[in-house]
Amino acid sequence: MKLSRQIFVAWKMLSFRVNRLLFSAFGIAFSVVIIFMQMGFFNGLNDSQANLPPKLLGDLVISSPEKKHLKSSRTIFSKIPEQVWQIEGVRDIRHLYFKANYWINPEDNTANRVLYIGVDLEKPMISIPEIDLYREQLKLPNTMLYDKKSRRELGNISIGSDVRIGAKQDFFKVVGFFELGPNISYEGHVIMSMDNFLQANPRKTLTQPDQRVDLALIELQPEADPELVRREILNYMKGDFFIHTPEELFRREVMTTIKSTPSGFILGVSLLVGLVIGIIICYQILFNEVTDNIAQFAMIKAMGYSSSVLTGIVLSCAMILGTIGFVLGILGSVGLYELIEKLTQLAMHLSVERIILVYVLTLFMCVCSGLLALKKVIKADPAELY
Amino acid sequence: MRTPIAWLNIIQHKKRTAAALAGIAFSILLIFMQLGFLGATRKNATVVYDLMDFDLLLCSNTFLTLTKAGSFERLALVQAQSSNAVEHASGVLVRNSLLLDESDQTEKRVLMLSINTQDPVFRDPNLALKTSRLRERASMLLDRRSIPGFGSWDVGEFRMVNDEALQIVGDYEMGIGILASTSMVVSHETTTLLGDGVPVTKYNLGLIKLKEGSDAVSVRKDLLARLPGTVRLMTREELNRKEQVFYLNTKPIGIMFRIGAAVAFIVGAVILYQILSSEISNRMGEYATLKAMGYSPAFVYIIGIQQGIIYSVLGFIPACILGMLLYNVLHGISGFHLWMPLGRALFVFVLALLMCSIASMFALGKIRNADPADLF
Repeated sequence: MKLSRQIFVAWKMLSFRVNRLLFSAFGIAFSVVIIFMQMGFFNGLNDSQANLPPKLLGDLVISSPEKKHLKSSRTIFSKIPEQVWQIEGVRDIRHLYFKANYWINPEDNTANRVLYIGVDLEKPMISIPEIDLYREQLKLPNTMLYDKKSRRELGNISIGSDVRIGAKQDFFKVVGFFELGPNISYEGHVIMSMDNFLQANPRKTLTQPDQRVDLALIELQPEADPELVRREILNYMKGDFFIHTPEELFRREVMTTIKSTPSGFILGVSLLVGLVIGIIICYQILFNEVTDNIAQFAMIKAMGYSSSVLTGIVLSCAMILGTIGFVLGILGSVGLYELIEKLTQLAMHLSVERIILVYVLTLFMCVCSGLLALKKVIKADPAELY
Repeated sequence: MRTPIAWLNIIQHKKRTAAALAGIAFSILLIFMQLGFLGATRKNATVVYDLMDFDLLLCSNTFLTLTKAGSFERLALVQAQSSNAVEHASGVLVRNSLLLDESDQTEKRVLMLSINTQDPVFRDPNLALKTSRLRERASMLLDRRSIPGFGSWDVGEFRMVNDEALQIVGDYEMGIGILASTSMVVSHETTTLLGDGVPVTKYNLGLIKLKEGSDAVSVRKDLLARLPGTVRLMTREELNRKEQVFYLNTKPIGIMFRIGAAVAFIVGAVILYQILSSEISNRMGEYATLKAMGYSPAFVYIIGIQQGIIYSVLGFIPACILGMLLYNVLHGISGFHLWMPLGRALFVFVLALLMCSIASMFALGKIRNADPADLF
């Protein structure tokens, strides 16, 4: 029997009782939801912790060699990255400042931590279009852009709100909004000009404070090869520094989160338990399907088909159930993701790779349980039929 | 009729029952795990305070959480001490330090508590006794409960902390969980040494112990009148609640685990429904026969409900045992405070029963249709 025939027989068997089929697929859908949920938490945590690198517009980023992750407060002397002007292929270089500092909720006066980002207003090199929109207002002293997606704990902030911020708790005015979203480290984000940044977050250095920067973003000529330029920079520039692409920074940030928190471990274990539950549900369903169709299986055997055909039919059943369950599960997960995003303010993305990964896991789950349920089919004895 | 029909139904197909129970047990296990992680996070939020001896905590009004407590001037502590109701007041510094782990030559982040060795800071008398050893120059007490992969050490050895050699003069057991690799206690003199000789003039936490019989809330009112506006005072309950709210609600950890437990609950109910419903379909003929014999529909219903209850009890028992084992294993691997309090076991048991009643309610609808006339 050809494979397409086997799948057809499997489909006929399953669709004979549509209600039952839907119901079984529903059971599988729930285990798909568990997998999506745990994976969503895991990725949501990691993506939120690494929310800045994807926003950086430079081709290469220079930072202090002691800045092992972006939440580290280590800075680098701006003289070191400024040397890149000697390197061919470099078009521009701009500075970026970061500092986690206080934010006093204007409603209840509680203190919270937000990340202050100081940008070069002429060319921010960070993909937040609102900076261009509010450039003129941001040039004024004591002004800032506020992340509208920041946690509710920061208070109900509107354009024009005056908020006490920074170590000195000076008043700064919110002149506009942008959207980024909080993470485990910071309850919110604020963008301001470099001058305002240094006023709100004075640097404890003996030298000129603006001589130290967190990141230097390098833009290359369109025709330049980033790898070549990077090698040039490493060969010719003096001093200790790190050089990364934004993608590398993103990956490093995710690895830091996984290594420094037990989130990967906890969610990994939960995912595994979800998978086991899925296999059991699936087995339960397939077992019932096989029991109820045992006469049909015996008949196929009696007609002279080999066990491999039976195997093919059962595994096809498993795959069909898995696929329908997966489709239902993904619909449920989209709803759940929205709910979770609302409740936790974590960035819950469903990317294509993640969807494919869960589909593969679902099929794996179904095939595992299909193999378990097969035993009974192989034993089906035509002689017992009548 | 004394025949235990529900039980006999369950044990008739042992393999099928085993698979069904495995499904139920695993969803209950998932609930146990999510609640376990939730409990561990809650415990972890207050583990340092649980060790310390105080009735009121003095801190900066920018206090956010233990490791981001803000600081206040030493003077505020002296002012607090001048109150008649205060037995003693002691300043504590909370810092992150880097300890060189000799097993792999990497620096590990360690939560450092710096205390005044003259004051009774800790509740545990054993630990309180050990703090007197900290008067020795460049010494520390180190936490036995560290993250996995932390190198071994013994009392008496030296370790590099912030590039300064400190002698380990004692140990204790706290377990800091997610905050750092492990924790250590030093004297303010040692902190001064580590900070290039800059003396300690500010504290992060002020532990205030009240005289017997004084009421924390009224003393606080009195104290706040004397103290500068940049500080605040919290009772232990307020402090614990603030930390728990911070980790469970502000940081979305608590919400995550609660959603996880809720989904596990729904999945458990769905599995149980599947099992009961296929069980009932398979026994339709038997139920119809019972009805034909004159037993009331209620009687048949009760069999279904009993079966549901037996399934959830039989699923709960292995899940509880497995849960305890898993807690132990995970505790060993992650150093997380995972354990099985009786309250949680009972709560999950109630959830399991609830799961069963919801599932049976939906599945039993079919029994009504069991018609003796269809039988033949």
